[in-house]
Amino acid sequence: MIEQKIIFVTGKGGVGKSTVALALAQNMAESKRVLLVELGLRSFYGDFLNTTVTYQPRPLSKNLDIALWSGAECLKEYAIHLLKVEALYNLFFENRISRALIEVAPALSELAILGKITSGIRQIGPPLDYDAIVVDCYATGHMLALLRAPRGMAEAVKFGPMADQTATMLACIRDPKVCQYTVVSLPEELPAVEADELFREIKTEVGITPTLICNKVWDTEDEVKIKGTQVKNLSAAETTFINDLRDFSQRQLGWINFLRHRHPDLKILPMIFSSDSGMIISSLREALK
Amino acid sequence: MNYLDSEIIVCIGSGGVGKTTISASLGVWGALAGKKVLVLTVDPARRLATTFGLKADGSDQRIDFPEAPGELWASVLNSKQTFDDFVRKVANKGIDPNPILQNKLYQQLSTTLSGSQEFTSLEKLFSAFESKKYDLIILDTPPTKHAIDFLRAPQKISFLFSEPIAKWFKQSRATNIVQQIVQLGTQKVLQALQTLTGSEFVMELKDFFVSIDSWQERLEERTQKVNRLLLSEKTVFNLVTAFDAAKIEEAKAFAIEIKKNGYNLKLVTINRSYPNWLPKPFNSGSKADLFCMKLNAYYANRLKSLELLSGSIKDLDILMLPEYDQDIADLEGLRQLVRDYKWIEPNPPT
Repeated sequence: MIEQKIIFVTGKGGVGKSTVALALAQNMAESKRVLLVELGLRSFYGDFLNTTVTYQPRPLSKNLDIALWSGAECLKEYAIHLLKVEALYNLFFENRISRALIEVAPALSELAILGKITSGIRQIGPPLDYDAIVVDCYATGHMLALLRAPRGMAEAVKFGPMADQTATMLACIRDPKVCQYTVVSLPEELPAVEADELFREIKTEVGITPTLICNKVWDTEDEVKIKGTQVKNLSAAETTFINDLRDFSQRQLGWINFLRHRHPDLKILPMIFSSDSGMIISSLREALK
Repeated sequence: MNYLDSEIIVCIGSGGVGKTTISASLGVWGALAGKKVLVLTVDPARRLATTFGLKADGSDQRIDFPEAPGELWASVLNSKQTFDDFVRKVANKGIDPNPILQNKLYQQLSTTLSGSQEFTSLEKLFSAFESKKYDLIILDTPPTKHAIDFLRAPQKISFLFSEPIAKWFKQSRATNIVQQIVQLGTQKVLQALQTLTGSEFVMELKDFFVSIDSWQERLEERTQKVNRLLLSEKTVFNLVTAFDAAKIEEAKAFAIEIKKNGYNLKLVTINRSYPNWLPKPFNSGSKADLFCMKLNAYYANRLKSLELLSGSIKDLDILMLPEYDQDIADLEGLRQLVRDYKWIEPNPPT
């Protein structure tokens, strides 16, 4: 039995899942062999880090590889593994109808991706020789669809290879020794409310308590402090700004407290006022330690 | 150009960029300009839905907006229901809808995310367009990781139905040598599929396609009409994006792809580009002033990434919107958003 950790990072769109996943992966890579995986057709890290990301893992830095997995490619790899005969595989995948079918067949793409993510631990297909896999996962709704796919398929199809595969996937995503779930939020109403719900839905679906992170928290404590002597010298515009900033901090604190009351282990990550990807990641890595 | 003179505005973009709010504000803009507008959404911002008392049942609901010379309507899609309605509508022509409604794969297809939301939102868009009840329809597309997924969905579905798949599963007797060879290939493919998935899955799949065989023609015809509508001059695409270098880069790649596919991309909306309460620095040297300078530098730097976009794509209008200190939750918030529309050349509408 191989030992491998799988960390799923999710949250509402726009909360900074990908940057948090990258910082997590780099921190883990200090002592382990790590694979960072993006899902879908187009890479975010390609633009962010000005690099090339492909289906086959490529080295990004010491001990850290990166890959981009789409449903179609995962399914193809699985098919080759199972059908073994190359000609049969070509016949199947070059058939227009089966290609179209794969594209829309319900949950097939989700199953293929989840199958690939858990293939190392289930010892199926090409070896995934990493101590940990960090998955920069889908946003809320699609993430839940991904986690629910094996259960849905298990209900629809009870026998055969498909049923066997989904059973082992199900066991894997529910195994707290293997899988960890990280939900990223912001100190704002919509992401916080959604993160709180997602947290509970993941827990219900897989029985594992996720980690909750509140990202992009502005540190304005010093800025809004006004000492007695300063007050006289402040222009009206500056006073307004300080008041606005204080209001902002209050609202932010309100949403942090909303999350913390429900999930006491909440982690806080700072807002990084920089457009430089290296600067953003190194600051996040520091804060995550 | 004047966007309000188009008949359909499709708002696309990756998840979390504020498509729903932008769509709603475009609706308010249209109603204020005297148009009868319908805003179609899959996943409304909850507070907006609550404020307007919207039900997620796919019905067209009028929003009380007495100050507007036009009318504002909204419809929240229910994917499963639209799908079922569609099956029943087709079934009106003497076909029994029950085998398909009861098929397990159909039940999954109509509820999971594999293209079903995209399909149903286009189905609803077309019905609303055909009804001729509205001057302008605004479509807020379903959340996807990448904006591109939405445009691929209808093609995927249309492709699937452009082939008589049911025939593929039927064991009809081959009469000539060509058919025999084709049939042999088909059987091999089916065998491969069975090895991959198991016989139970293949049986369900077969039932599914045999059931939909009867309404395939109608579905295909409809998919083609929708595609034609999306490609026509009546439809304008609005790409909504967040405001940082990686997102703008993504938006750029997407904009190029939309244009290449012949869609009428005219507008890019950059949402939450800077806090609406951020002033210029005060030169007082205080901590607050230093922080204000830092914020200004940060947002000015992000502004540079805009050049990436406007420099590489011609004839694209850019609409820039501020970030508010509160989530927009009512008509007044949406009206404020419309007042804050900031158009960037080349052709700001009047």
